[in-house]
Amino acid sequence: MAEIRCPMCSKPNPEGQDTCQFCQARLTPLESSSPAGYQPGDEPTPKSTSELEPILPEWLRQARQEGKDSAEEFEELQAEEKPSKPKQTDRLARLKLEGTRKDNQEDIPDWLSDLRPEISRDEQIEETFEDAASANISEDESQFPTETPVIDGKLPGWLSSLADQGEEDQGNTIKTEGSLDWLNQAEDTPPQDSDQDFLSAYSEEAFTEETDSDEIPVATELPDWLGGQKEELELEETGPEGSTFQFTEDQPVASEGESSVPDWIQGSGETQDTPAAPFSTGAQNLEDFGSIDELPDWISSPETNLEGESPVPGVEGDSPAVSAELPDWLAAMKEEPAGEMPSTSAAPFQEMDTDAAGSPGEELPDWLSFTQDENENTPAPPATKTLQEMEPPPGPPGEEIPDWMSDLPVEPEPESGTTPLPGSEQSEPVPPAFAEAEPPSSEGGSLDDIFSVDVPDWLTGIDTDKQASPENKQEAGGQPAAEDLSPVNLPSWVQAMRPVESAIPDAKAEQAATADQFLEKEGPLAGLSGVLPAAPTGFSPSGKPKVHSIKIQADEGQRSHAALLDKILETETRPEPISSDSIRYTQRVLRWVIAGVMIFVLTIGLFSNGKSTPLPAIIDRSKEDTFFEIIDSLPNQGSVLLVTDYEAAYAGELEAIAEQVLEAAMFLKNIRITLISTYPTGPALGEKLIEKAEIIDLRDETVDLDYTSGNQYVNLGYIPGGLSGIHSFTSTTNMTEAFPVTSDGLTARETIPLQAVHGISDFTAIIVLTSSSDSAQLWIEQITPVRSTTPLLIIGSAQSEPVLLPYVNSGQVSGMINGLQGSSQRYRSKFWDAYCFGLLTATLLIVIGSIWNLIQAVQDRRKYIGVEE
Amino acid sequence: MKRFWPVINTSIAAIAGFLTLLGYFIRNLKALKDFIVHGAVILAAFAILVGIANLFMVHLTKIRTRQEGNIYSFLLLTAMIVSLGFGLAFSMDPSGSNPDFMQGLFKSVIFPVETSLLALLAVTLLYASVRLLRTRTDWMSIVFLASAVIGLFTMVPLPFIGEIRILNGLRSFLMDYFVTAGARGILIGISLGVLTTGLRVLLGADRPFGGK
Repeated sequence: MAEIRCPMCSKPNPEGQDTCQFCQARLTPLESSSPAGYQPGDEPTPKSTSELEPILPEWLRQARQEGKDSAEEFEELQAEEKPSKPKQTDRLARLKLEGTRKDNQEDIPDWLSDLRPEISRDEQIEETFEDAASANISEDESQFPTETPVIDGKLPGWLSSLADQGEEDQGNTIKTEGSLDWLNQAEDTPPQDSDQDFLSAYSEEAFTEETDSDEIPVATELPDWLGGQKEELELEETGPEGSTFQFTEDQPVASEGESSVPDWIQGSGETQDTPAAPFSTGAQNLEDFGSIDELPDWISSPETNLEGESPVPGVEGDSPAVSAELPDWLAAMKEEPAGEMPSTSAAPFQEMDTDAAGSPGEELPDWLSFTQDENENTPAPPATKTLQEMEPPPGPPGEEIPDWMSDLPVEPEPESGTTPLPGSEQSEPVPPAFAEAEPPSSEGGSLDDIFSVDVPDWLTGIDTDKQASPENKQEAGGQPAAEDLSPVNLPSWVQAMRPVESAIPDAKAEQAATADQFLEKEGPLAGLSGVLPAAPTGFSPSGKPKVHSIKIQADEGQRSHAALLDKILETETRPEPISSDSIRYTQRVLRWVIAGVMIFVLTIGLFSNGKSTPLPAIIDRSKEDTFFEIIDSLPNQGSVLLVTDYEAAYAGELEAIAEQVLEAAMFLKNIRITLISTYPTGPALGEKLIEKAEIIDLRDETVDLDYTSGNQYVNLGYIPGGLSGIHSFTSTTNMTEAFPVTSDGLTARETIPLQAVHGISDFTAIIVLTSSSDSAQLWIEQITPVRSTTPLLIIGSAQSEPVLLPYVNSGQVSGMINGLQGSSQRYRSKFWDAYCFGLLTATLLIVIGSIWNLIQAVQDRRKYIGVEE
Repeated sequence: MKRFWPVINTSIAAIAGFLTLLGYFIRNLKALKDFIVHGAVILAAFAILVGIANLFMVHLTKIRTRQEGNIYSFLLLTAMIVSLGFGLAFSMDPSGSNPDFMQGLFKSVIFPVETSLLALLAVTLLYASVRLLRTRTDWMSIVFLASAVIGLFTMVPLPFIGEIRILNGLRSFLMDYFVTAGARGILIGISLGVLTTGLRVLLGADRPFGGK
């Protein structure tokens, strides 16, 4: 199930929720939910409309106000105009004609026609009451006669009995407010051309409201007072119109001499012609229901026409004659408990419509009762009370109101407002049809005040009516009233009446242009207009926006640097051509060629027996001379410290240099050697160097030097710590204590080479074999302070000569030989020819190769320049 | 604690350095200086053991995680274990054959391998010198090659010709002036750098042992 996350509290809410169930924030924006626009002909959507009154457009409010004004005008006309005295048939015909007109939408004002669908949205509520009313009607039909015999020229007996009973029971069973309302209705009732018609209108109403009671007696003859009124009524039909019937306590009846017919009777017939505007609501509801097809047009139309149009007295005359027989459905309608009736008067009308359509010729049409009911601005009074109130005063005109009439307003008991209908077995009082109508104040209130107080909300205006509807109550309970003011809740009839945007394109633009009318579209103020100013204070949109130049503000120096950077990036980002396979093949071949040439040359040098190349001439070999002089000056069986700080990779060069020197020294003077190294592989290389030493005896035979550990030499092993180790070794004054055990497990003190050695200065000579100038520097720097007169000799590789040469020149190093050319000053090595051949070949290869590649590079550059150009 | 240990470390380094330095000038402090230096040597010896253990663990991790090239790690660890095992085993041999075995192992494995690598380096350097002007054609490359050719060409006598005195005089001139001058400048710069670094460490400006 999809969830809607609240934009305010971010909590999930079930789909379909308009507001957050946690923080009550609106989940859907007000603007987004509103339709983009309404096209003519679209079915409007039912919406709650009452709360939207304040935000309606001016034109709409004006239209609604006009409608209300017209309704008020009707009421005023109703009060001012004299009751017309058309014939009952003419009035019905007029109503029918107006009903036909009502069907024609052209005669209905736009605002009224648009109101219809909105009101019809109360269908659900009204259906509920309609169903309930139908059920009651069906029950009542079984209890009451559907037809009441009518005798032409005579009032029905029950009517006369009602009048009699009204006299008898006045003040006992009359509901005060109901009687007043009913009288007010009777006041507007137009006069009828016959007694039957005239009385049927009242008997209908009386019967309608007295269906619960069977106690209404059926009279065959009119009472005297009523008979007199009948005659006067016939004369009054052709009398002047315009007499106003003011049914108040002060003026209960027409003054004597104005008309023979009492005003209250004349007013009863006028009601049909000048209905109150709020009746349009009930009429429209009738049309909206599905049962409207069953109703004749002339039945459903009068209310609307009465509301929307001013009364036209002369249109009647084509209506069929209506019998004065009281319909039982009307009585059934009146049986509806007042407590179950909605505040609106639409439901009773529908009930009557349904039954009236069945027998329009025999029974009094329900539209007539509609009219009577609708003319009531207050709930209908009980029938008995109505009949009693219809009774003319017993005395002549101008006399006081009869007692029963004067007592009417002061009857406070709502329960007693019903009188049992004749024939009804139940004698229980019927609750008033509109129990929710407040009883008029019995103390000091006039009838006008009572009317004004008891006017239902739905009659005061559509908005009030809608507020009272259950649907709106439900909405009001679910959401705050302020949210209903949002534009999304525009009622359907307002939606239908909204002007098409294309027709008035400037309306919205003008609204948006107005700062006060700026409509907030987002945030908590969404849907509200004019809350925030559209623009900050002081902002003047009159001036043109400032034009900013897109040109870079940079001086010449910055531009030059930028150009240089571009050039650098251009060279870096320039794609380099991928070397082809041929080029890589050529380079690989070149490597093999170089390696082959070198191997070939060196092989030739090795087999040349070392005599093809002469020894170097001594031009300035002072350091070498010093070195050999020191070696030659070593005493016999002297103790020499031999430092072997070189890697195995350099063993070929260094051993070739040292072999001859050591062989000569050891052979000649039986030197005792002490081996030590700061390289992990140094001790092993020292062992290897001694083992490899051999001498050539006098018979030119190679004789191995039988140097054994502990006797002719001692290996102290590896000195860790680099500079610290060298310092520690050189600073010791008791060598055997510093190195109690040799690398081969011998006790240092017991070894021959270390017996006479305590410190570094006790050695006869210190010889450092090193391939690295760094190692040689450490030894030189650490030994020099402590070596005293002990000579320090360096046997280094050719690459270390440039760096160690300053130490030799400064006297810190007694003597030094570097490379094979250094040792060749005295001894010809068997590798001398190979060494010379190799150096010469390498030099030639470098020269030749460099020249060739230089030419190629120049050519490539020319090609590249040519391509760029 | 984050601010405590750096202060302690700096203090120890500074004190040890000053004492060692004073040991060169104050005879009474020589014993203390030697003690500190011997302690540093022992620590450096253990540092080698730590390095070996670290190397062992790194390659063992490579083998365990089956990383690319773990076969070489396997060979390294195998050689390391075998060497250690043989060294410990033969060191317990009362006959004293340990040096011969370990020396033979060194001469038959380490020495040829390293020598061969240096021989390959000689060929590679020669090839790079030949291709130098092809990849980088500028005056500095030409000068570099020219000096190298002069040094090689004057180092040894020419076969069947002997030495050319002009070339020998040129080489002596270059070695005595240019090369010696450059080498001295480098050595003096190195000495000044070592002195400055020592002072910064003694003053606590540089803390290679940790801390900011």
